[in-house]
Amino acid sequence: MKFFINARYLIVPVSSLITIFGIFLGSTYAWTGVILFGFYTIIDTLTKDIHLKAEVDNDGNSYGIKIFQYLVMYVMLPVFIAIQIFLAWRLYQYTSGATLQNLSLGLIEYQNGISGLNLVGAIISSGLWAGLGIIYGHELSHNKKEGFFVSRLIMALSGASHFTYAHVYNHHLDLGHEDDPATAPRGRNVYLHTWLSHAGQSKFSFDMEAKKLKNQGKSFVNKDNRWLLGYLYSLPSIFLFVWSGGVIGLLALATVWILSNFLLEALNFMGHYGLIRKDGAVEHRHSWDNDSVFTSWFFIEIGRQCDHHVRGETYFWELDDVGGPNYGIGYFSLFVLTLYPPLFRKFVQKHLDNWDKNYATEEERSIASKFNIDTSSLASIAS
Amino acid sequence: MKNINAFLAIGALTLSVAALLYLVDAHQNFRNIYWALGISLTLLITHVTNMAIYFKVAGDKPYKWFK
Repeated sequence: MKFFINARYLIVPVSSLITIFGIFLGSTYAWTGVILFGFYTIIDTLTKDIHLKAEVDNDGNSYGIKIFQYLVMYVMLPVFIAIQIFLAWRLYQYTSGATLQNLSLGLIEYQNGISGLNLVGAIISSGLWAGLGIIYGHELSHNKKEGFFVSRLIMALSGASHFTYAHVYNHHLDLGHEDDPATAPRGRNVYLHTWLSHAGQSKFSFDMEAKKLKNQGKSFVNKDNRWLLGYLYSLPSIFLFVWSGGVIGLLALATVWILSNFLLEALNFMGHYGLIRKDGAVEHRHSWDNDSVFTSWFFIEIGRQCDHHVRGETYFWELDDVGGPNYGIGYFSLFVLTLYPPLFRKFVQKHLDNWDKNYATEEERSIASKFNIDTSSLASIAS
Repeated sequence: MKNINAFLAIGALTLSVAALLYLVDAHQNFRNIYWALGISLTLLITHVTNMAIYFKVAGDKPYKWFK
């Protein structure tokens, strides 16, 4: 039991390694990461009705092994770096005009050189798995020790090191309020939300450092500026892609960053879309749970948002179903819906109606009604 | 409108830097380690400056629900 409960959270680490291996093998295997993403979307959809509680032993203690889970999360940093190195290697080959030929490394046969089409596959695969891997950056952002710094480095690989501060000191404190850029209001689509949330969180970190440095009597351009430092941590990635691929390398890095940040913000979008908090403490009802079995295991329980936002420093393997608002489907399935905003809005409306009726306070309902008026007026304009 | 102005300013700066890099043949020298480092630093500074421009032009909290 203990082994299974800990091993089930290894889907992303193993899949990331398979994605790297696919990029190494080359040819159509470079698309492995994309195919895995599609395959997992199907599994998530098929298992959407299976919901499990957090398992504990007879004494009520979790089966999770902290040292093992933390080791996995720390090891994910070099794994994500490896994804970028292998992609850079392919960019180097492509921009150098390496001839396509099959070579062997021991028993493994791989293709040296890569076609333009398969390079696109390698880039998208890298972006998707860099984005899915951000779940570790999220989990470690709640660690007060070295894990916080590892989170900063993981996020910097996607140009989003500011996330670590903004997530803990902005998103968690201002959840469900318009001061939280990561909470999407009703009517906003995931594409606009991606930019507004990304820039908003960076702005939070920017303001935080500006205020701190001003109080310390230091200039903004300073080695103690953690907003600037966060971007500086991204310099090795930029260097790697510029050196290996020039303009094409830069386009590849931009694609990886955009894809990974899109997935990160899509998670924020799905976790809190349309929910409202009028001051007061954060409660379970201020988040959407996504706890179908595959989502739970794949995303290391990040879908248990209701519990996570009330017990922010609880290890992911201890989070549980708390009876909060729930879409009833997993993140992969819901993500597909968010890609087509009218479909997402149609799907989510009944859940929002239920939230307004059964979870919201009078004040929260009052704010919600402003959105409902806005939405109907927009609809009348559109028609 | 503020968002559009911000993106216009960001676009102008980015295009200027791209043109500058092109004029100094950065696209032909990127395999030289020192060139690659210089190009990367230039791009990073441009990105950071673009973010700061966005914060300045787009206003305090462009993600606010009700404006």
